[in-house]
Amino acid sequence: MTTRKVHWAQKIEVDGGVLVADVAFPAGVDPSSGRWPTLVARTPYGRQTFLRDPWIRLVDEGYVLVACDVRRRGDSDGAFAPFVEDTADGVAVIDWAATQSWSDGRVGTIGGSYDGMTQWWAARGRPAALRCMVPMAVGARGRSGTRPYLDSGIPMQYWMWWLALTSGRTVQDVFTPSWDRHWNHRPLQSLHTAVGFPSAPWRQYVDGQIDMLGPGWCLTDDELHDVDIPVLIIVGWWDDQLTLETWESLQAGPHAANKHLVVGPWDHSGNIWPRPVLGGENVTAGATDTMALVADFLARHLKDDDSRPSPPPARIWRSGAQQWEDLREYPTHSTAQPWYLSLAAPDGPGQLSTELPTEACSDSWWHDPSAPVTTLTSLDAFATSDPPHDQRYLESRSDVRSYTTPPLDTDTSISGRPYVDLTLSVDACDGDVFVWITDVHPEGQSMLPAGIELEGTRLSHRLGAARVLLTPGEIVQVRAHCQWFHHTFRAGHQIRLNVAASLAPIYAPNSGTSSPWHEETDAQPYRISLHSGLKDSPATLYLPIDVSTP
Amino acid sequence: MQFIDDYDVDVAFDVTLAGARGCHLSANMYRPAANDVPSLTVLIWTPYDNGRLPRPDASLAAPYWSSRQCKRLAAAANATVVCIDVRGRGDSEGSFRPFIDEAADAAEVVRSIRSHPWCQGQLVVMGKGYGAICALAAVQAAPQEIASALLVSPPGRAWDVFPGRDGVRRADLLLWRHLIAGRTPQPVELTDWASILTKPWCEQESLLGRDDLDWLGFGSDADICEALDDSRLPTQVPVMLVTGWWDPACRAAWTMAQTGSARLMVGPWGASAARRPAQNVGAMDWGPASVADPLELQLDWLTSTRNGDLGQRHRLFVTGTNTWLTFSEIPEPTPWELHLASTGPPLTTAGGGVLTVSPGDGSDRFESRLSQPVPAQPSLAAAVAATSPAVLDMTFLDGRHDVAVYTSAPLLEPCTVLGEVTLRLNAQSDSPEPALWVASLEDVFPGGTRSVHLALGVVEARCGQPPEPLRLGPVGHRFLPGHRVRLRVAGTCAPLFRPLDGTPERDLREIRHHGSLLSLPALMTP
Repeated sequence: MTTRKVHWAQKIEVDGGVLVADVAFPAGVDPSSGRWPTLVARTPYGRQTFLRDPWIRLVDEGYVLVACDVRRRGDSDGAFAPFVEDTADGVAVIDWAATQSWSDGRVGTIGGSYDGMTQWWAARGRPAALRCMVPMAVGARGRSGTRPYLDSGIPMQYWMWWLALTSGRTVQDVFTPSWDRHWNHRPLQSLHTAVGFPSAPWRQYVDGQIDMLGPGWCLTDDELHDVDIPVLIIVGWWDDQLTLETWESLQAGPHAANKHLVVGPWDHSGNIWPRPVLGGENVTAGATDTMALVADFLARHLKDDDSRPSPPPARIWRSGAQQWEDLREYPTHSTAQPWYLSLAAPDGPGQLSTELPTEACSDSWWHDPSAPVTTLTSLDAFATSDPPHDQRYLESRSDVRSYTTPPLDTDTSISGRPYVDLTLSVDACDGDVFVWITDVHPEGQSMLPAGIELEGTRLSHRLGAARVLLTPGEIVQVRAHCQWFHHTFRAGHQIRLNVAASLAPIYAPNSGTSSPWHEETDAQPYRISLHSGLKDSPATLYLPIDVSTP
Repeated sequence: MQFIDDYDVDVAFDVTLAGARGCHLSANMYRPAANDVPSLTVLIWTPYDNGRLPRPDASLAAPYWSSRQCKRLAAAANATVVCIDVRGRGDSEGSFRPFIDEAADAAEVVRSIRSHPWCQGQLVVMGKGYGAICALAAVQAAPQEIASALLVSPPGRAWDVFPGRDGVRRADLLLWRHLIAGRTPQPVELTDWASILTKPWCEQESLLGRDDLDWLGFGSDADICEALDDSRLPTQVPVMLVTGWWDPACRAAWTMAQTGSARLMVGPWGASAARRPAQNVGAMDWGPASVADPLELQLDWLTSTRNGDLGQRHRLFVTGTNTWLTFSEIPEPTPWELHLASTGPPLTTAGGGVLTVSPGDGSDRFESRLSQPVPAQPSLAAAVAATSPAVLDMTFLDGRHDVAVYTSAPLLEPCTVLGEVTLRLNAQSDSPEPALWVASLEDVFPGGTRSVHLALGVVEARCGQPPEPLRLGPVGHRFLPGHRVRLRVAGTCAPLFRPLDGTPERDLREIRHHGSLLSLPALMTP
């Protein structure tokens, strides 16, 4: 790596403490010889993570980089509150950076995941020097309620992994614990001590005090609409899909014109370090230099360099067709096309048809909380675990129910987020439902075109924030959402909808009892039934058929 | 990512232990899942962040403090392993003051660890480099509590390694001071070290871009010297010392082994290879037998501890023959004395400098220039690389006129040297300021194709006075027939050593043959 001047361990006064930042200069420049536009990154993962490629490559485009530890992380003072906004700190750091002798007063922010969220929090404070931002791989828009994970009420075990990673003051080696041995630990409220991170704030999550996209994290639609600076959002299809809800909100606001979206064939780390093969799928055709896009964007807004190309409103990888598309909008214009769920025979395979079933039927299966549907997402390396896209290993389970169309006559493109109206019953007090769509190739592969943290629906929260338990056998109707897409199902392929009652290890399985999820110790298997073909409430998948393409 | 969990070890990260004066220290703990209370506990200290994620290319030779190595050790030894962030580093509270607080904190940790339910039975302390300081402090503070100690590259007393050698500060320790300036290791690859370390002392910290190191004061701090001053090994605690011939800590370990009841192991390693085994050190292949797996060393030592088999047994690698020798006691050598003489100016290897058995009565002169210092390695950057020494072959210095070179005649018989090398120089500089004298002992291959560095000595001489004898440290080497012994003497060694600010740009050096004597510890004189 090219050597350069760095002002190490600079102290930034904030309300109630001191934050520590390293300031890196372009290679070959004397910090006292000029002023440069300035990049700010704030992170809980150690500020040194920004003092290497690819970030340092941006510095050599002619910027000064301020890499700062957030409160009580690394060398910074104070108390770290995971998932809780630190807007005042963000504003203070940006103000500090803009007024240094080496800064020309124009500031942009960079970083991904939590480091993208710290950008949104700073932007909420509207610091005068902030000219643009590039939040990658993270969503900022929350939901209205206060229940766990996205207000779905479904607890996310994955947060134990993240809270372990960020326990103490420095990033911890989360490869060390025996995660697999502890997934079935009960009660879940003591998972942190079982897995070996007693100081992790898991109890705060259990008690509902902190949560990603919880009240302390998210920006409201109004706050998002107030962000008037240019923003370049980058995310991968197998990544945090909530980012697209943030995009949706921004598009409804008054400053939509200076917002840009890039969605590529990447996982959580892939938008910074893309891989040619992901989940066993060759995505080489999607190879792109995202940092070059970032550099162009920053140059236009921090250096007024109009010679650099402006990104389109949306540059989206169309999976299936395996091509990049520059779009005026995402999702593209679509119409909701209904596909009805049914069984080919009482115990036959599930099918999707555009024709209403003539007979009602029920698809029943056992859900065992102690042996839940478990993806191959390894939690010892969550963000880079790269589970297989071919879902047949899940579909071969009896507790994953698959509904499949006949082979398609023509290419079929969708853009946006499909959803399913389901009629369900359980012989327990509660249950979860997860739905996801795959593209079934003629050779049999059932490929996941998008999504990893699929959003589930908890039946006891079907009516809203209040927990309303079911009477065993009670039939309820829910709307469940699939992944976000920009995908083409090729002619000859089939569309498949998978339905399951659990998706471990990311989500804790529902015990089906009235006990709080974190206190349950002895959950028993229970039966779930999906009722299709009912006259007044046929189980229906609605696909957002892209009508903008010829 | 791992296929499966092969170790079946329970962990507890960021467990609070009591340090001195109520300071909370953070420990990561490991124990076999099948064993509630292992019969042995290993304590390890580190300033390098005990929970740091491993590098994806990490080899078998993970550092002692790494979670991977701790987990392996816990599983393999059926022991509880406790790895502690020292005060102010990693997740531990307090402020990090290099060396100052370690003794008091280590003593408190030993006292408090007994109350932890995972930590029963025998207590063994281990450490590498800085961690060895903490482990040694624990041994000294509570010898009755500790069953044994394994110390790799223990830095010894003040002026063995820290803040320099024999009263001469090591400039490249600025890199280490920077590395440990925050809670986690700081990046070192962004800095042009060679440029900074060849600038005056008073400019170096600023050029680095820091203002929090007190670099000018580093070394003059009496507290640091006091903290490092006690490297005694209590006789009742068995200790194993591991180091390498090119490890700056080698001399300290050698001395400690002779004063305590320690086992000593010295391999063909520098500081890096002593901690992370490598067969190729200094661009020389020392053979497969030269590599020692750290986990095997740890396990062997714990097995010996459990069995009470902890008597002295030194293992010393003899370079030249590339074999290990085992001794119950370090043998008493016979001095092999070679006098400095010359038949003409001893400048360059084509000059007239010789090492002879007879004293000479002439003298040699050369000029030393601060702005064109003698490099310790072919490039200044290589001299501060993590794997230093990058090369042991010193022929890159052969043509310099600011280095006095004295070479023996080819040996007719082999000669094994094992022990400390000293050099007495009857020499002086015309500088009004103190002058550095640097000496390198080498083995010259037949035909002069290679000149392999064996040992280094440095000393600072007062104005107008001859230098004190240079202690080049221990060597374990066999000079083969046809090989020659070479001594190089210079006034600089950049970027490792640097004279005080204010030293003149040029000074004239004179080496008088009478009274200038190289003393080698021969097992049998040739």
